Amino acid sequence: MRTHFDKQLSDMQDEILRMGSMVEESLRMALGALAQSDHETAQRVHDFDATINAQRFAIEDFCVQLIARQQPIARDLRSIVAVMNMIVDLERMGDQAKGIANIALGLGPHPEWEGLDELWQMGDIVIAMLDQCMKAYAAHDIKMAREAALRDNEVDELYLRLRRKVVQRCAETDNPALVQSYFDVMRATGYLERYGDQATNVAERVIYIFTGAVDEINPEPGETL
Amino acid sequence: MDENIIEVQDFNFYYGEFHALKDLNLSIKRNKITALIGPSGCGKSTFLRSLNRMNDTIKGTRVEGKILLDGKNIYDEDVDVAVLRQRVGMVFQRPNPFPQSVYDNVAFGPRVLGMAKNGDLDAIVEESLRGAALWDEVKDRLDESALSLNPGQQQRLCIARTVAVKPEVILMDEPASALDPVATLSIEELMRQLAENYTIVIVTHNMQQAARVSDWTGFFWLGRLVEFGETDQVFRAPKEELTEAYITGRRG
Repeated sequence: MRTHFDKQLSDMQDEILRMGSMVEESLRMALGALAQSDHETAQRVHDFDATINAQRFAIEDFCVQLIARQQPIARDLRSIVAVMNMIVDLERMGDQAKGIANIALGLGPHPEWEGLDELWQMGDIVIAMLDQCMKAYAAHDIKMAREAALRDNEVDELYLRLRRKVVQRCAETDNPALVQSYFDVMRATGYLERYGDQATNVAERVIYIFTGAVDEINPEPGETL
Repeated sequence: MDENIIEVQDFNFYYGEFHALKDLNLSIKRNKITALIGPSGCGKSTFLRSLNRMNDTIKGTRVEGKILLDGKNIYDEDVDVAVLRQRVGMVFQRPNPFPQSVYDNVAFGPRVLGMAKNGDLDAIVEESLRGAALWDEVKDRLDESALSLNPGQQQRLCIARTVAVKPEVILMDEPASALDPVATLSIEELMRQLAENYTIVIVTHNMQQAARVSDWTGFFWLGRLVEFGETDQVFRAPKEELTEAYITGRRG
């Protein structure tokens, strides 16, 4: 019974998981490039964004084809609609990674970042959030998706702590080059903060597939900014 | 082998004075499912029946143009229509098993054509029933009347009967319209499996079915082929306004 359609739905799932891995890897590489001022890797992340965008449109195209040809209903319909939303967030998460790579491209050695560990902790958490979202999606696990989304609170806390530190350091220096460098830290942090918000959106879509309800887990994610 | 198994060239069909099919040109792809859609009276069933000359039996009909099956015009005078219909089989709207046993229904064609020597007939019957995804359900009921099967099984039996004579093309005229949704889906799944070995041309009123099951779609309107293309394209972005209006239900 309907093996063909089931195969297509499972292909769609494989493609979104693949896109998730791409976006995850992209941020991991971007953060590595940022830490090491590694311009070559930063350039690779920058260029890779086009591949992520292409994947988004390929999945969108496939979804439209499924709707046109299979007239999906109930959970089938929800999973396709959810995927069409997820790919928008994933594509933008790729843009955040590219933003960080662009900062890395303009960065020389930066010993003054010593002690700003919150930046890297935020990176680790948002990458883990996305990873957990994708696992929840593959495993149909609503609880796991919700837990992933709730980690955004940790990200917001780290963001506030880091901002206080950076403001303090800016106040203590009269060197414009250092202020510029700290400004780059805050830009990178902003990208990570949005990456976390978008991972939350992805988690909400995963939950929607299995419950049919749109459940805003962090209703005002931008409040702390 | 050529990708196209059937080439239709400047084909016209008349019922007496009535010009039913007008200047058709299209290619049917080998081992693909081609769906023909359009409102009642648009000519799609007439065209389907032209593909194995089923219309020959209707008085006062005539054709112009060619339908080439592997390069040979099926309307040439030297064509043996019985052989043509073995190569191009047909499944009808209502399951029409013979009032005989399940076994004899499937064995009918091979017997008439003298295809089976000795014990081969059993093998052909089994293979055909397997090919029609019916074997597991009837293997212990081969001697029972075909009329004791449910409608979905009867239709698959008719498909097995068609497959038994090893055709190249299977024509299906609304094969699921008399079936419930579950039996319909099983016929659609079966069509996908059959397409691995056969070329299928299906006429359907059910546009969703055409969208689900076919690789190529032709839209007929007043005896003309308005649009013919890959199903993905026809159902996502038809080239013709008229196709768009019909498949979205704004015109029928």
